[in-house]
Amino acid sequence: MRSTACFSRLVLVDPLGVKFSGRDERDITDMHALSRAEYLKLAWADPAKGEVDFTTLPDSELAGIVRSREAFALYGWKPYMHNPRLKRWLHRIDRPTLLLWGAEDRIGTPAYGENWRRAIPNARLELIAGAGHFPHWEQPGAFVDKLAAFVDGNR
Amino acid sequence: MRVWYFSEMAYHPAWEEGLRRGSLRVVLPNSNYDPQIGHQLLNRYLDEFALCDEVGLDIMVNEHHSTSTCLTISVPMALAIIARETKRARLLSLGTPIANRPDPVRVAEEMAWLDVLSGGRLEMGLVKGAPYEIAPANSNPGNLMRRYWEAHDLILKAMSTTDGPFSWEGEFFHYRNVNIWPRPLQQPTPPVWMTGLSVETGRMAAERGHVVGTLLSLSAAGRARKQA
Repeated sequence: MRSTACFSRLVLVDPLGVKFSGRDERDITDMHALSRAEYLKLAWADPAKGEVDFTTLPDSELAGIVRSREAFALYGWKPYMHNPRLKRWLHRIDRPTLLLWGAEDRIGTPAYGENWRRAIPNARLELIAGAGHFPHWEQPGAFVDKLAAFVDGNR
Repeated sequence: MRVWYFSEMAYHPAWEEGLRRGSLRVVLPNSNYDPQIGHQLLNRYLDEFALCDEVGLDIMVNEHHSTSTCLTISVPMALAIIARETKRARLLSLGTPIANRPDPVRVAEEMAWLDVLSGGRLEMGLVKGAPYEIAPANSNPGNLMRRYWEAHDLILKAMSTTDGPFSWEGEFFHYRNVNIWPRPLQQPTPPVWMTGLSVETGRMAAERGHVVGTLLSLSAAGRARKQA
């Protein structure tokens, strides 16, 4: 974020990684403290769409999932899913920025997205209805439409 | 055969409420703990440990956190009292959760101090820590075992080194001068105990001459048989 010279525009989709609230509050839901069912309820507008039948996956794929989960803890445990030094850099993003956000994301809520919008000078926040934390999976059509309109057109 | 008396110094008055809410641990608010009753219980439990010494039992203490099942939140605190109130019993710490401790040298100091205080009666358990206490300790679970072994190696080196100070620049722990005072009475270290349920942990403990504490549950035995 020292230089944006390589970028023309920026699109962020339900990003985490920045803390806006005070030390007594948590911006990002503690995913490690949730059961799989609880997690799906918060991360998806329709939890059924996030279901994975792990029993049908080959060992190699399961190993990949477990290793990813391990890395997720390794890098995002403490501070939890954020870098305390990141917030102060956001003001230097001087490119048109689109924040795409699942309207029903309860891992990082739209209110958290609004904090992102305020921290980036030239940013717009657009909600995608019927989507949680993964709008590109849950509403791919709406996601691509909004993305294309922003990338192709003038905002 | 040695017989060890072990009590977690439980706060049983909260168990009914805990069971009703679905957990005795971590998420059960401490409004369910009455400090006045706790005062009586803690003293009763310490009296029981003192009695063990009189009847020839050895003593084991452990620690847990944020739980109604175990009010011992610090093995060294409990054993410091018990060491003064007993004369003969071996004092087993099983143990200090070193994968959750930020400062292994402090653990080495406390264990050495206890060994000196008790006249060399300490049995030193170096344990990982219960999985459900990752959150209260907020230690990173992603590299827990590597951190465990580094802390283990550092503690034993700190306790057994007599020509220090030495420096330590590991993956997790960094010290300029390690040179603990006091050093333990039992040389080079008190007997070391580990806990575990896997064959692998058992093998690694055996290679180092440690004592293994395990739970003789049917499921654990079945797992071990499969791995063997």
